[in-house]
Amino acid sequence: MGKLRYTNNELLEGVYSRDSRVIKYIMGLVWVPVRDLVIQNSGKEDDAMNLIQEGFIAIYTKTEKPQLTASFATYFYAICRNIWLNELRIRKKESSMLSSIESAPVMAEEVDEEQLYEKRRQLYLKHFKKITKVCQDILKMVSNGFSNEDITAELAFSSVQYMKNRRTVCNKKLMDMIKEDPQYKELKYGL
Amino acid sequence: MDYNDRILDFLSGDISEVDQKKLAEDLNNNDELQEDFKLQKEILHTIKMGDDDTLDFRSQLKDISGEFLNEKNSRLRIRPAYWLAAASVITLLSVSTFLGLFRSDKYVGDQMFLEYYEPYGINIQVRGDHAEEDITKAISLYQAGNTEKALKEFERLKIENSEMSGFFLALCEIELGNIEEAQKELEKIGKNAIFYSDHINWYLSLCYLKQEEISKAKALFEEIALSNNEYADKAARILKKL
Repeated sequence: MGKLRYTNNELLEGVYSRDSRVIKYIMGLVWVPVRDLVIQNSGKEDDAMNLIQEGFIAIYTKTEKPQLTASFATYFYAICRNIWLNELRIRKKESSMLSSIESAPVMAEEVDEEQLYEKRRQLYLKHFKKITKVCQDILKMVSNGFSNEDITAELAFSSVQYMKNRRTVCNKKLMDMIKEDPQYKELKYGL
Repeated sequence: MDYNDRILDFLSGDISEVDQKKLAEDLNNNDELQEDFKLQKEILHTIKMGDDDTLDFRSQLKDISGEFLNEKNSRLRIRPAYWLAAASVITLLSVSTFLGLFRSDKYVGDQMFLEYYEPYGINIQVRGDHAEEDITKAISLYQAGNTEKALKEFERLKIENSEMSGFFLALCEIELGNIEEAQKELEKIGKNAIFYSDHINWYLSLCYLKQEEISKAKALFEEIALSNNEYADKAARILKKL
């Protein structure tokens, strides 16, 4: 075979270096299968493109570069599939939960308090950076909707219960740090 | 279990129905808990969205996605009045959407496909009469991504128009990842093809490539490269890489 346009490693590096040409090329590679995955599983085309973007972010924010055992496209698709399945799981739970709460939680952007939220965002990130790396990894996976089993496996914890204990400690630590920050009292009214 | 744990379980989708119901009740009756819930959700959202660098990347991705979709849509714009033109566009759509990509680790072949699946304006000269409406319907199904239904329609229409319906039938099989079936169909209709022969040969050669039948692919690409049709240059370029 002759030279390909990009090797797997070039595609991976293209994501880390945020090379627009490579990113668009990857979108072309994965668009149809990801779109079909989403549409066949309760989603829409818009969800598919958002999912692809989340796939890029998932790779970009990984602290360690993955060792590819299959093609980059297969790897990327697997990431999107995981994210989508988790998203569906959460959507299902969330819809039944939110319908039973009188005042549903509303993100700050939606109530036109962007400036206030931006300050709170900086505050959250400031404290998030202070907690240990393992705590960051756990909460990052929680935030991306991964199940307890997935987090346990990915971070190589001995059991789900142990992971949950760690998660509790990490989360409490972060919440306490934020709540104890004097800035928080000034900013929390947007919540 | 403390509330924050229960909230986290809920936000992770790992909460039992009993606990979820209890949490919902408590949230309705406890303002402090509501604030914690909102705070927890907002913190997780912030973590998910990432730091400033990640947000910047998100913004970049949004721009690239917009460009990508615009380019894709402009490729798929249907020419008015001519259903045959629509057919050709759909042909191109299908070519750019090889679902078999993730069915194996043969990334080399897959990447070559995608590199050479670029839409062109194809002017197909086909006579259509009473079957035109049905064909248009089948094409619409195909265009909407309803490939399995489209496939059934083309199977039915094959009796009246074996070449054209057979060609689209093969494209549906490709969409469904059934490359072997697509290949068989293209081989069958290709023998007596008149109107679609260039396109049939092109897709058939790509099926061979996909199936790693390199000698067959080469032979057909050589034929295409010598044909001076719209696929000739691409076939020549592929040959250099094989």
